[in-house]
Amino acid sequence: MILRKDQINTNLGNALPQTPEKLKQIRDLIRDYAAETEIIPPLQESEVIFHSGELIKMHPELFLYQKLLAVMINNFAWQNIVAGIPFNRRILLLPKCFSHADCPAKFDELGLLCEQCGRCDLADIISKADDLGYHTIVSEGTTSASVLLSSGQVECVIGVGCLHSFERSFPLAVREAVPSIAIPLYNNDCKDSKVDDVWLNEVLANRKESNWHGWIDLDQLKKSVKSWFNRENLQEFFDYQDDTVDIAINWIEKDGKRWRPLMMTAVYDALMGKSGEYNETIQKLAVSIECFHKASLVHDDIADDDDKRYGKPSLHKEFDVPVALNVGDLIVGYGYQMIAESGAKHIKSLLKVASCAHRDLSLGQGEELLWRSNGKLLSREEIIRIFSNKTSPAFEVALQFGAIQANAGADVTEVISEYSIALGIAYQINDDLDDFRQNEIASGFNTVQPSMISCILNEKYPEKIKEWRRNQDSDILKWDETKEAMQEAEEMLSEYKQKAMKSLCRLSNSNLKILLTRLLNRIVPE
Amino acid sequence: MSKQIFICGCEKDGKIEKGSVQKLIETLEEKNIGFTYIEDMCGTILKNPDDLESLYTAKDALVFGCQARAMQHLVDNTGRRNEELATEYLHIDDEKEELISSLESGTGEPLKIKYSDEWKPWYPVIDYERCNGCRKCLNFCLFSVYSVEDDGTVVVSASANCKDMCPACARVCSQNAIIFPKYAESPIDGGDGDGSENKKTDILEQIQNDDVYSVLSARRKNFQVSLLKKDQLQMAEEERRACCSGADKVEEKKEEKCACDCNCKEEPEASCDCDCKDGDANSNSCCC
Repeated sequence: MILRKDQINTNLGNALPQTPEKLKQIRDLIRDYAAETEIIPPLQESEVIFHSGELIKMHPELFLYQKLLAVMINNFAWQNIVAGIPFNRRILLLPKCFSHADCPAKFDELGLLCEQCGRCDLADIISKADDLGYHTIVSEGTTSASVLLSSGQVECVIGVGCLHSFERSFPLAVREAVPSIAIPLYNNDCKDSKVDDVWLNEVLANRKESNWHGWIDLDQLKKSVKSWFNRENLQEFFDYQDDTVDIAINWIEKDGKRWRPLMMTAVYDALMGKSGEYNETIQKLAVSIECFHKASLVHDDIADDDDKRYGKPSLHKEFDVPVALNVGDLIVGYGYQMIAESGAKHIKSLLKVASCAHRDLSLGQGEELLWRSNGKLLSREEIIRIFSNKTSPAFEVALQFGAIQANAGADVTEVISEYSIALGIAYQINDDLDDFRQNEIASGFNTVQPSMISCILNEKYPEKIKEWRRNQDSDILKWDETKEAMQEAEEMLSEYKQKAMKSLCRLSNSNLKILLTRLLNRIVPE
Repeated sequence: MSKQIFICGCEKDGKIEKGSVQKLIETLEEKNIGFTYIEDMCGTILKNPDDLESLYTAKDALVFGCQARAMQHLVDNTGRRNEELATEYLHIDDEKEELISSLESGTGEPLKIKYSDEWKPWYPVIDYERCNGCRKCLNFCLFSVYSVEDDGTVVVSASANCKDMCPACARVCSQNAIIFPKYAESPIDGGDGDGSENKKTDILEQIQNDDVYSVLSARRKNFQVSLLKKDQLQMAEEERRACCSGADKVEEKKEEKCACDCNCKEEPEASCDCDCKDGDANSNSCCC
């Protein structure tokens, strides 16, 4: 059982130069290359591969160092932004393999608690980093790096490690768009490790006078955004005393993740350079977006005959259907009114975006409702069209509002359109998958809502779907065919996430590119 | 009934006392008790497993070597020793006189199983009594040492990929189920440990839920305080020693006599300007 394949993996392009001079030479080559090419962080894996391919075309001898090149190109892309990040917001990750064989230090779950005994180089590096204000972690493997990167809170990482560990952490750093610099060890042996300390010191001390303002603390921002939805604020914006208005305000005030207002404000911040202060215009636009969302929920619950929303009675259960229908309409009206009275610079553009989205949403919803009554199974293309009509517009309105208010041009708004379509579809596929990741199928599944998984299942195994339609008790979740369909849906999901990522390559604004990368992973988590 | 005796010498960068091994061999030879000496069981099991046929088939085996748990799982994981056969594993330094005196003599000539490979057999051994199949090690190892069988069992499938002296996966294992027999410390070497390895903090959870930067600052601060406490504790120990009563004091001080033969430790007022007088009590050389 112990011995199966007893060989060491060797991969091409894995080599590492063994002198600081050679490393410096490669850095210089990258700098010269970048002078003629636009390299905008965060780079995606495909972009890194593209640039390293170009470099190898120009300097074939670099072929040996393919992986190292990818690391160093990514470093180059981030270096200016990293220089703008204060030392005390940076995390330095050092490898445990620096430590001496007789290291007396203890460990906790994050890594080695260095006593700076002086047996190895760690003491020296740590005390330098301490003096600058870094948070230093000496870790084994990549667990600590993964935890930190995926926390979504880390603003900057300087990592020292072997190429193996970078390969492991890179996808995560890309996903979370964390400004990061990776400094490779000279060896990959997990002991007696050495690093180019001149280079390391240079990177550690690299600091511009001005700060970079592109980091958006989404958790903090969410708190601000939520505060705009308190009763007093809403009463002021609705500005009318009436029983129906009361119901509307109640409905908007209670519950809700405020995703859309958050997205709008974050895009605005990213494009403007963070302000932290939001005037009434921004707040009114944020509330208007939430109005459209909350109105659609009221109407959806009626259409789907859902008794509960946020674990409480839905509006038409709390009152009745006619009241709920009317409150939904009222909220839509208020949404448009708030845009019109927001005092924003580009009210015409905002109204156009909001009304187009409203139209598309109703078209998507319409196609779905008509499908319900005819009962035939939809094709993949039809489902994708419903998804992109039903879900994408809500995301798009939020993102475009932020961009328009920040005076963004067509270069940005076009990217946002493309990104929103892919994001909306990915979101819905993920939602469908969630239904199948449960222990039992939700009631109303496949009769109320078209599902990508049952569509794939039907395409490949129409008999199985017929069987399930005849006998809804059969355990569709346990079928191998269902698992196969889920697998295919997972692939589609990652394809659409990839599409969303790819649309961002055209952005020339790093802050926005970083933000939209992070949002994608918050909205459609792995 | 007669036991078949095996001794692992852990010769390839081994961690057990050579002297203990030698002593045991001499004792057995004196008493004319037969045994099989395995130069390095970790190495032979991986490189020439067939050489250990006698161990796999022994009706009643007694194996001396490193930690019992390490040897047991090393052998069990080969799947070649029938688990119903009696096997006893003992650390080479365990109390064994009584056991040896009960052994039958005249059981044959000593045999030797060689390990002549250059490669140092450093690789993990999974204790399946503890492993809960969480696959943390699998995701953690950068060199694909582990893999998963169809039934979900985590196995060590590419032992030679393992990096010499790297026991990192053992440390991430929440069950302490990974053994590196040649590692210097318990419980990673298969020993029982001192219990401290089970004291997990919730720092990883804190990072996910609280402000990362505050958590890291607090971690650093706590650690520095604990280092300081350690220093203070050491100092207190030294002071206590210095304050012991007369007789003890003289005796102790004699032991503490400087390597350089000055009398500064016995005569605090001595004129020499010596570091070991008030400095590190463990230091036994001084500058005078």
